[in-house]
Amino acid sequence: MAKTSAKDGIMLIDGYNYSTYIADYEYQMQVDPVEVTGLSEGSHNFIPGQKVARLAANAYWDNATITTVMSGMLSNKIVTLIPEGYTLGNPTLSMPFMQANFNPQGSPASAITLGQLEFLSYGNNAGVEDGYALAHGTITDTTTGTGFVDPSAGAVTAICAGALHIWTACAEDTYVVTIEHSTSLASGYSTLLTFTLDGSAVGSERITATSGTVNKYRRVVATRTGSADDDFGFSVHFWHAG
Amino acid sequence: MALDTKAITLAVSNLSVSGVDIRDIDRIPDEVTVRQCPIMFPQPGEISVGYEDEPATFGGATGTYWPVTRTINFLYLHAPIGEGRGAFSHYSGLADKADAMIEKFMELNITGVDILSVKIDGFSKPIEGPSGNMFFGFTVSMTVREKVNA
Repeated sequence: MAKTSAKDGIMLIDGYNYSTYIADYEYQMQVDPVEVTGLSEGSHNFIPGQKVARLAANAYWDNATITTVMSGMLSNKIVTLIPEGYTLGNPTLSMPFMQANFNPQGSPASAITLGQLEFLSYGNNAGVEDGYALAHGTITDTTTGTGFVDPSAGAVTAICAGALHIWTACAEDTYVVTIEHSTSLASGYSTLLTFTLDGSAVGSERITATSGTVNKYRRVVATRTGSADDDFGFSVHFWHAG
Repeated sequence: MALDTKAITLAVSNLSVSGVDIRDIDRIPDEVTVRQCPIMFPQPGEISVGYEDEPATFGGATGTYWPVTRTINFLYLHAPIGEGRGAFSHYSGLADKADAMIEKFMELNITGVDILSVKIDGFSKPIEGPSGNMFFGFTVSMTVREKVNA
């Protein structure tokens, strides 16, 4: 069995790549058990209740970056973790969240920390989406990503969602980022999801598509408008139910 | 930020303790004579020891934050054994210098370096100089934490 170190993990919070400030993390996905035990049953009988999704992460203080953002108590933003680091198709854990706390801590012999930041599911979603990474890098022009086949090696008919994090914004150029799907790796792609963030500011966005066919191959296309060759740093996570 | 042994030894050499010649890492004497005492310098063979480090954040090979804790040792030689009026005649002077030294070390302010502890050892025992001669003196051990990719 292949064990994987967590050292290459990438944590994106509302567009910001805060990997170098995050000391550890813990995602939690659970279901409230609802007891429906009836007479004559041999043991307690539980059925799944409502989902609970949560992320806790310990972070270091840096007033110029993470502290300033997290002190704003974010809500309805996206947090995405790429636990193994980025390679096309690597697993991702993503969640729309509201930030539940901000509790800096320190002592004379220690570094200042932000304590354990808690991110709670925003409720209008499936909780922690265990998807995969379709993009993570910096580009300067229109770029068509490589197609990635669904881990099941087939198409699905299910709700799907994509999350976009923009961590390096463009000064002049703008981009349209889309997720495309196809029945063939080499060709035949059509648009599945289109993000509205245009690359002009750091931020995050989650787009969903209601249940429909999601073809087995997916890729990211970032189309530039402009000619300034600005750096555009972004990451894309994709998930479907089922 | 990164490891910088010479910045630490330089800061220590700039301390002012009455009557003591405090030397930087580039001026460690091969031999110490009675006329050079009292003198302090980085301890040969034990200058930088006891490394403890492990990655503290994510961020890849060049971005991961590494706090590094280690101990920098200094050798203080007060006077050669046999010099003075009696076997314990130097203890009073040693005590003054030890107290002054430890306070000065605790007050060090070196950019990017956290001083976690300062200890004095060997105060009442003969201590070996760089050429093997024995002295009244002590070692000062300063445990510091530095930050790689902070």
